[in-house]
Amino acid sequence: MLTDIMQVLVLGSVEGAVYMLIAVGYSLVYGTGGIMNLAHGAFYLIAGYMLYWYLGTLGLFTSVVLALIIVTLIGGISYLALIKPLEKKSQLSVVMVTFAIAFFIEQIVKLGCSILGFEKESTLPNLIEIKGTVSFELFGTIIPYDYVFILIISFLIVSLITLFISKSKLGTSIRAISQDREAATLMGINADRVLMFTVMISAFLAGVAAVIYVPSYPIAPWQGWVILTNSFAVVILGGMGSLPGSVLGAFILSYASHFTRVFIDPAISTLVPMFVIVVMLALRPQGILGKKEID
Amino acid sequence: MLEIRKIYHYYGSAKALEEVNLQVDEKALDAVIGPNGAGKTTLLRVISGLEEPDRGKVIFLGERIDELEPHEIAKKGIAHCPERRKLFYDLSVLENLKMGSFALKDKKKFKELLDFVYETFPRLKERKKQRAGTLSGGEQQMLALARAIMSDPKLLLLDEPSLGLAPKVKAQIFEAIKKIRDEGTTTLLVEQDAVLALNVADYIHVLEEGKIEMRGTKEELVKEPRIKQVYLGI
Repeated sequence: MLTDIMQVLVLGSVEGAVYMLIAVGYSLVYGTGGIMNLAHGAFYLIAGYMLYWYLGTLGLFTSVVLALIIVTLIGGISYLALIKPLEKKSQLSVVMVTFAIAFFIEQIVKLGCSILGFEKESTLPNLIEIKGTVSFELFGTIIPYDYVFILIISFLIVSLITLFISKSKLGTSIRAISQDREAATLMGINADRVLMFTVMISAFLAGVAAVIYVPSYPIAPWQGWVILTNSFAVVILGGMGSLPGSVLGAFILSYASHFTRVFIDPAISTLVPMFVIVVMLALRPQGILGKKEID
Repeated sequence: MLEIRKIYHYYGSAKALEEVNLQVDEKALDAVIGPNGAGKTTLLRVISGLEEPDRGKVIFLGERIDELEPHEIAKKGIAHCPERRKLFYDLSVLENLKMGSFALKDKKKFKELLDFVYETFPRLKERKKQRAGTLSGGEQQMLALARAIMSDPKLLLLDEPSLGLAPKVKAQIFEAIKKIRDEGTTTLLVEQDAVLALNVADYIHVLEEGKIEMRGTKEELVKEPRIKQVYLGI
């Protein structure tokens, strides 16, 4: 019983922290530009596979830095080359193009694996090793040091992003655009450029999530879609465009999934995000802390 | 300073502006009056780039600006205080003011402008930490005006600054508009309240159904029977 509870708490916290990183970026882009980015899970995929491919030859540090730089740039390029030109036309074409980006990236990742001679699905070695061991024991449960690292890094990064958005000039202009884009442009704010930055920030956050989580959770090309569905569930639960909502939603959803997995049925636990999406859209579309409804 | 040449603008097939010519001289305070739906707001939106005119030119300081993006026009020195204020309601008063001076590079100038704004509207200083959405209607209008002048504009566009305000607050806002003009900022004011506009402006343009029907100084216009009858009710 105790180990069961520990499992829910430990895995729930770790996955919650990862989803917090992913969903904060997803929500930021939606809240600022009204862009429903279906390629968000694919951003996770890029960074994860970059790390996986480089790790053997370049070493951990260089691989992580390179993975993060590449995913951030791909975020910026996706916005400039594909999302921005369609943005003024219609919301639907933006959704469609991000869907296409997601598919494209998934295929690239598969192709990369074939060309470079990697297995498509794989597990990576642990990030952290202390005195020859990779884990410690707490209340009879074995906990990898990586889990602690994941929690520290995700809270650190989310705190820094929150600080950046609430205090910096660029952060304030992000909030200004999210409230009234037209008025923001009248202030001389180049909304397209600020939006490009938010997409880059969100790609970076998904990238951070990938590099810290991939060593603990097997990587696979289809994962982008699971990540996308789950982050969608998180922001629907927390409220689209609300960053505190995304943090709250990530942990609620993660604990609920793991609770279901441990105490009810693992098969049912994968349905929890879908259940949350349907119920929230029907009963409270603006989410727990959100102001805007999905449109 | 600002010259509008033969501007036409349509919303779909609905005509909003038809062959509008207008010129605002440096340091002048011009007003455009006219009934609801005459095209006054559209005119300002065309100047600040929110609408692209279907035909015609907008020339500002000798340069054509009608093909520029709104944020580029703002950086040229045109501040547009839009209809219904359009504040950043979840941002604090001070953050709204900082956004107003987004394009301003000079830190010292920012301090000067902030002092000017706080001196003109002491209320805003008292409430600088408060969310803009929690201000009263009058205070919100003050903030909208203040936010516009925080960019240190060469030309200020004001869209119905008196809309929905109590007479006392209206008078306060118009005092501030005069003060801004006296500081040397060229202003183009759009106003439904003709009496207010006639009293404050150097030159008045009458816009009806998308066309400029008449123009002149207050002294010239008050002699016109049509102005008396339609706009002044005498």
